[in-house]
Amino acid sequence: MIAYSVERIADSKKSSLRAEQSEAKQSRFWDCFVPLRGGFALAVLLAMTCFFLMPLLNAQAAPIVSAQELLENAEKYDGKIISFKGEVIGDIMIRGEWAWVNVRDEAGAIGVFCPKELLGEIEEQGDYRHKGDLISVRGIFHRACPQHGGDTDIHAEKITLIQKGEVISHPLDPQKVKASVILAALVCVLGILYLIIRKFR
Amino acid sequence: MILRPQLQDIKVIGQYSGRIILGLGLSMLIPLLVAVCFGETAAALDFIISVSICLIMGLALMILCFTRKELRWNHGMIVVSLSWLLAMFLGAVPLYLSRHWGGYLDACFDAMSGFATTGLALVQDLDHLSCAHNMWRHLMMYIGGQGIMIVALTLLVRGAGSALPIYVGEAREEKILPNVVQTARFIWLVSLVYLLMGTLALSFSAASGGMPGLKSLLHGLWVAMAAWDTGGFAPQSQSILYYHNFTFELITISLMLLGSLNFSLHYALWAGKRKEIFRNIETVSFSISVALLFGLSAWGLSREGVYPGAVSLFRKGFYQLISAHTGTGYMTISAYQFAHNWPTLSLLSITLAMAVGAGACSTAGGIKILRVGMIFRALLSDIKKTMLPRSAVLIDKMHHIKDIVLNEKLIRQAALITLTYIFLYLLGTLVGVSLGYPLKLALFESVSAGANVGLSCGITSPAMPVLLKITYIFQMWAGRLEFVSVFALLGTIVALVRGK
Repeated sequence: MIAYSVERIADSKKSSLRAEQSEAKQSRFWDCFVPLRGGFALAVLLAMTCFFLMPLLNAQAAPIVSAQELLENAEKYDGKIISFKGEVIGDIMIRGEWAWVNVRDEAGAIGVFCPKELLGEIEEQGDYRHKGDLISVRGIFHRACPQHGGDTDIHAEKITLIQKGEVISHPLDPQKVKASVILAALVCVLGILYLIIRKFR
Repeated sequence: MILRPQLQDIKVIGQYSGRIILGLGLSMLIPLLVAVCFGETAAALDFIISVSICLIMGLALMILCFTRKELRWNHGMIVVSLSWLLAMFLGAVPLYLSRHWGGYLDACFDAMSGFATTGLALVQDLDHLSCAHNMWRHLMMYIGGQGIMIVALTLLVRGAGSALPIYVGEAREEKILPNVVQTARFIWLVSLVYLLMGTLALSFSAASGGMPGLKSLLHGLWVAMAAWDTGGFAPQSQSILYYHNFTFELITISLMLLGSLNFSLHYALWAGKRKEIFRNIETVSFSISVALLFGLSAWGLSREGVYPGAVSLFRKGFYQLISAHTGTGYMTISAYQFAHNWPTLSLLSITLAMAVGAGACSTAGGIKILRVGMIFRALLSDIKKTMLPRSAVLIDKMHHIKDIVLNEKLIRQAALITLTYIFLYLLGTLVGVSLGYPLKLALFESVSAGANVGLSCGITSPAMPVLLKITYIFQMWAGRLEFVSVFALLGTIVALVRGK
């Protein structure tokens, strides 16, 4: 009985040893794939990075062009992706799911046509009381847009808010206030004088 | 022997000029009201100062030159040309005070451009200009389009006898109604009706295009004012391109065409004579000219492939041509594109359209299609004469409200004015070229100024030389008044210096 049990123990040891040996063989097999597995993960990581950062990379690649450069060399930029930076002026005109925004830099203004969703960040539009938001528009420039009756425009793919607009204050000039009071008084004096002259002549 | 004007003559001129300045000051109350309504206090102050200066000058002239004597023919001419200059100097005050103009000369340029319904502008940062100042810019066009004198005729001048010389002096030869004051009132009536209709149509179009309610109403009013008066000022720096709206463009085309019609023709249409529009020498000549020049312009644009498709060609090529031919100056392209994208043939077609202009006795400028039509008729008649026997008598007629026999006197007058306009266009071109601008661009801008159009290929800017600014101001003034009153003023100055 004891001999049987010793035999069994020896068998079990052998089998466990065999299992360990075969496990060792197996781990050695996967080990040769370890560097490849790391490469694969790296490749996936790189692909994902590219996927998420591509728009950013592209935005950096699209040249920032001024209105003057765009309008003077319209043929060169026609149909190309460009970036244009400027102040939002006037009104945002919503047309269904789309919208028109007019953007102006130092040299001139260009109409930007975009999906309504891209306008999310824009709040201030430039007028007498406001300096409009400063935005960067990335999109396709059209010298004569076939969709919009030959308008020179940009079909935006991305709009980025660079700087928020602000309220422009127009304080009263004290010198102008003084001048207006003096001039108004003079008008009254001359008006009375004219009426007197007209009556007596 | 040149006779020096008497003190009494100067008094009459001063008295009437004073009244007109007074009227100008009162018209500034409208932008002042706008400033108050929109809470633009700084702008309101600019207009209080400007109104006061006008009233002081007007009253001072009326007191110093107090007389009850009536205007004579030559007085009227001088009053007209002098008042237009004074209107420029005084109309520029609120513009200058707003600090949106580089200097007083720039403000004077825009004031003359406004009154003469030209539309060339030196304003800086227009997109941030107050509503009050925008109202004044467009009101100047509206007043200038009817004629500053028409305002005076309807409001400030009592006798019809006094009114005739100043009515004629402002380049309006045709009396629509027997009485000049009634004619002036009819011009106002027509203008107000079309202004109302135009404002409503444009406001509705702008609102349906996504503009907020009140702003669309203001923009509708301003654009209607400038389109009807073939002026060309716009509330935004991109002109009509700002709206990105085809319907808006079509309405402005209609208003420009209506504004370019002779007021006599308007009267005939209002009186129910609809056939007149198909028979009148002006409308016939204008239609032929538009067809020919658009054909040329479109050929140039198509050959170079500037615009893709017929719709683009219409919205850009036809719009610019109508704007040029009616003397308006509204643009749906940028000035850069005229200079860099448009072929020379198309640019020349636009230049020709600007030079010819539209109806006489309308709000448009330029040589006027009536004169061009008459000269062509005379030319055809001369060609016919060479083919007929010497003894044959050829009587040539044209139809303008009634049948008119074309005689030597009429043709001579038309040819003289045409020649003077050509000299005026050449003057600006010469100055432009001598300052270093290319010939085709200098010609384009000079014709635009002289014919009171307002289309620009980029020369007109705050940075342009002072000499060119002064030349364009002179061209706008002389072109709007059609020279006669300008010559009368220059003659008086000579008489004051050299007369006995």
